[in-house]
Amino acid sequence: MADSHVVTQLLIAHRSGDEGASDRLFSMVYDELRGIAHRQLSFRRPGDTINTTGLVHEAYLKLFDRNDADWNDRVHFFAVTARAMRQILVDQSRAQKAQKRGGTNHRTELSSGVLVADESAVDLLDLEDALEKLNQLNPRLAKIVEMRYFGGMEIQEIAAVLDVSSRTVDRDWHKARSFLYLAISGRSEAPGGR
Amino acid sequence: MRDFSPGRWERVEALYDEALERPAEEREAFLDEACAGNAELKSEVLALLRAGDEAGSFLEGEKPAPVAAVREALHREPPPGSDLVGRHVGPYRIERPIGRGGMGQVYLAVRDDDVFMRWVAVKVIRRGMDSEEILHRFRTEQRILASLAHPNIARLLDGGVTDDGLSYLVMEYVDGQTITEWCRSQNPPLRARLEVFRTICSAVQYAHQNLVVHRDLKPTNILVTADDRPILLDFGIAKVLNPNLPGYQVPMTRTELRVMTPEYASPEQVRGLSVTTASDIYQLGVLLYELLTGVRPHETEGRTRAEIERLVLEREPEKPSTALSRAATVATVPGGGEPGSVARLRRLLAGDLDRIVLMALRKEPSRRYASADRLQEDIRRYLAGLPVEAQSDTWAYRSAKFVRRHPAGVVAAVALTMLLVAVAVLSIRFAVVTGAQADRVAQAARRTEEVRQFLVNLFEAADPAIARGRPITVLELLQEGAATVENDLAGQPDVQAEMLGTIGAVYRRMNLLADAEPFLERALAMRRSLYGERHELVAASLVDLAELRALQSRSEEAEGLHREALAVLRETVPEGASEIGSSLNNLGVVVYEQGRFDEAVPLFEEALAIREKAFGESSREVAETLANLAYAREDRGDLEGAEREYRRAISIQVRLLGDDHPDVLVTRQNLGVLLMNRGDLAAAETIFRQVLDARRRLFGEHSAPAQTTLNLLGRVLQAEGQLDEAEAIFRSVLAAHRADLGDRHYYVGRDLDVLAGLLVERQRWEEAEAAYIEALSIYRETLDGADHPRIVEARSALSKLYASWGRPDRSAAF
Repeated sequence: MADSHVVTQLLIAHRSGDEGASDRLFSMVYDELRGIAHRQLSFRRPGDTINTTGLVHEAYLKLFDRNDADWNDRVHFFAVTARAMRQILVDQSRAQKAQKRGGTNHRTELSSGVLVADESAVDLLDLEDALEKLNQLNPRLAKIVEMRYFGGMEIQEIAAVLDVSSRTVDRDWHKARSFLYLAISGRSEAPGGR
Repeated sequence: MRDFSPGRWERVEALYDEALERPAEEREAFLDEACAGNAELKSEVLALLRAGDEAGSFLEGEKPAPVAAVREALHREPPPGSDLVGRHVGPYRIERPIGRGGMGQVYLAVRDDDVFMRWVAVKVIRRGMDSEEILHRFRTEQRILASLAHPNIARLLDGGVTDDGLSYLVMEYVDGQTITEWCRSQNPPLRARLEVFRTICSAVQYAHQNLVVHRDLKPTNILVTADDRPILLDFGIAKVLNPNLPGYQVPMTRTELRVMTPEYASPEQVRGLSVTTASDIYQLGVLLYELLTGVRPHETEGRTRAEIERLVLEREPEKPSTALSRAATVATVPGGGEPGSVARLRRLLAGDLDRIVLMALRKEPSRRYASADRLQEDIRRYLAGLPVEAQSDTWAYRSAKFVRRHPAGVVAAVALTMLLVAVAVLSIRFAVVTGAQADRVAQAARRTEEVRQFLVNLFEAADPAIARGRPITVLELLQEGAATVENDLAGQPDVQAEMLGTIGAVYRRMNLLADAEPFLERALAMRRSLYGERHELVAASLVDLAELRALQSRSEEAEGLHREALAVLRETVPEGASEIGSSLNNLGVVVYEQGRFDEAVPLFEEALAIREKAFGESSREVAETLANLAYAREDRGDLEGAEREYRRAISIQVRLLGDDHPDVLVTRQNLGVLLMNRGDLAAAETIFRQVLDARRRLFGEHSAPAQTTLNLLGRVLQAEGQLDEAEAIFRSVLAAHRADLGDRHYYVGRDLDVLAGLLVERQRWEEAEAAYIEALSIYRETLDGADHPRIVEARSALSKLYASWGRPDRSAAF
């Protein structure tokens, strides 16, 4: 199990560009998030919703030594979490798709509406493809989407992680959204209307 | 979709940003001009702009859709145990659910393979908690938990894993109501509540003596039977289920899952620090508070978790007698509801009971009751009309309050405190942890905790002032702090002496020993003139100065001061008081460090006896002295006795602190040294590699603790004949010590001494000779007396070297 001091140490190393530390940190956060999601979900009644922010917050409480770390460490931690979240969700999505091809349709159970958050929900795998393309063009834009969408981070927090102004993040987020929307709507006729 | 060309993308972005700055109707014209005929560029930017207009709340919806996917994928598993009723779990048939706790569902079950039926409670652990891990920990804890045979503790009977992989624990079934329900339904009078509470304390004490800490004492874990007998549930379970301390983060109430509010968590649990018996004392304090007033120490209704945590860490709880006003309408108050009863109760609580409760609830573990028994005893004394042990607060709080009254001095004081924290942390990180230093590391760790608390209080008062200030250096702050103490505190010599002593201690911790000296000496002199020779605070100042002398390698003076402090304590505090135990322990360390191992042993033995009584046989203090005793025995040649003490110390420490705690690592390492000295090289190597690994993780690759272990690994490798690796290790440790501590430090001498031994083995005589000579000259500077064992040994090693080398002529020169 994770030790918050270890996490703090790793975070410091991660911030100073130590790739080994980044990898280890990522996999710790990934495991923790999965574990928490798993636990949360197994106790929810159908009809409940789970929110990613809550999930991330719990991982944060669990993994993170709040005494030793400053605000900056914290937002970096959230950024790592966002990456882990993205990975988990995309993996789940793939698994789900594979299963649908296999014939069992689990959607019936889920179609009560509460689970699928809203009508304009994007197909995660489409989003992932588009995000990868965006990453080729400008990695910073992709990173911003990751932090904002998967990590639920505030513009100001993202700005701190990337060490740019909030205004820049705001502009980039606008651009990235336009790009992704264009990319995804170029695939299916009516974007988001699946 | 269209593929944007990477070569053009940068340009696209720039134009997009610029276009967005303009009103929508001007954008196309702007692009016509800016793209200057590059139609593709223009169309790309336009497509993006259009997409932006259409995108609406794309990706910005409140709940990201992907959440549904996680949910779906993970939802397939049914909740644990939902289908267990009527089935068997091991030999137990599940009858019905009886409750739900943080860890999962609890069932009433019956063992029906016996001749007679036996009712039990079966706790099925929710999925997602690693079953194998839990089972493994259960097996290691089982023997201890199962041996907890006490009429007021529910026995842990069994545990295992169901066919479908859920782990479960089986406990004695208790037919009763939770203690809060009992208060509500019976409305027992004050005395009855206190008697029940005393019984609970005794049960907790019993468990502590058996090395089990509860960690999660709260009303739902305490049932009261029909004949008013309290029974404690889940003793030691928290550790089986969640060994890694974040103590209270054990989630869940009935239907919704959330992280439990920290209402019953001790400050150290909120911080994620080590959970010890002191945390149970704190939780007993919360319980007592609730039994007496019907409310908890901190108002938690409607607050967020973070707010509650802040309260637990920072806010002093109000006195129970005052808190009654919050609870005036609650029927759980003793004698609740009756006219006039609250006023009467307030009179009963004010004074001794207030003090008892607040002492159990102190923020710093070391300032709470030393044991559950002492708490219980104080209640007994209260009931018998005798004076109680609980006293109002002492210096940290007085200082904090002083600062609140004098805002002008606050900035400097805050600075000072920040320093204290920084330095305390540094001293842990960089303390060279060998043998007897274990003691200091442990002390530093404890102090950090206290200082942190002090800091928090100060910050509260000084926030706005700091916000305006520019960044200041550590030394500036310290000097400013000193000036403030001189000027502003002239009228309050007692506080002044305290602060001077603190500043001296800070300098000492920063290793600015010469700067520390005048402050510590003045603090001592002031206290002597204020209080006379025979006073506890004089003893405290003596100890402060003694520690400085020890660091200055002035061991004889250090010893004299420690002896004086001990004599003062023996006259001013009761026989067997914990202060005497600490004093003996510290004196033992100084005596030991002078190489008088025989003399150190009885000092440690006496310290041990006192500490066992004062803190309990399985306390951290006892472990500390045991480790010192082991070290002294070892150096005196009593290897068997030493190994015994080490192992006892380790088992206490692991239990109290967990496997990887810095203190545990110190003791483990020393055991490794002993095994090495006994020739059990393989075992020693294993221990050193473990400790090294843990220390690198905890402190960093090049930290001093890791260096020390590395050194030892080098020595064991040398003994095993792996000379290349050993030499490389020795040289890197030596270089690090030279850089950190300077060329003339004792440790540099030790490193050279060790390296020389290896060089002799490799028959590189001249290098070895140089190393020995340098080591000896450092020893002579830093150790007392030409007959110190290290000096004697190094000299004899050197003459052996000359003999093997065949150069007795050199010996004469030397």
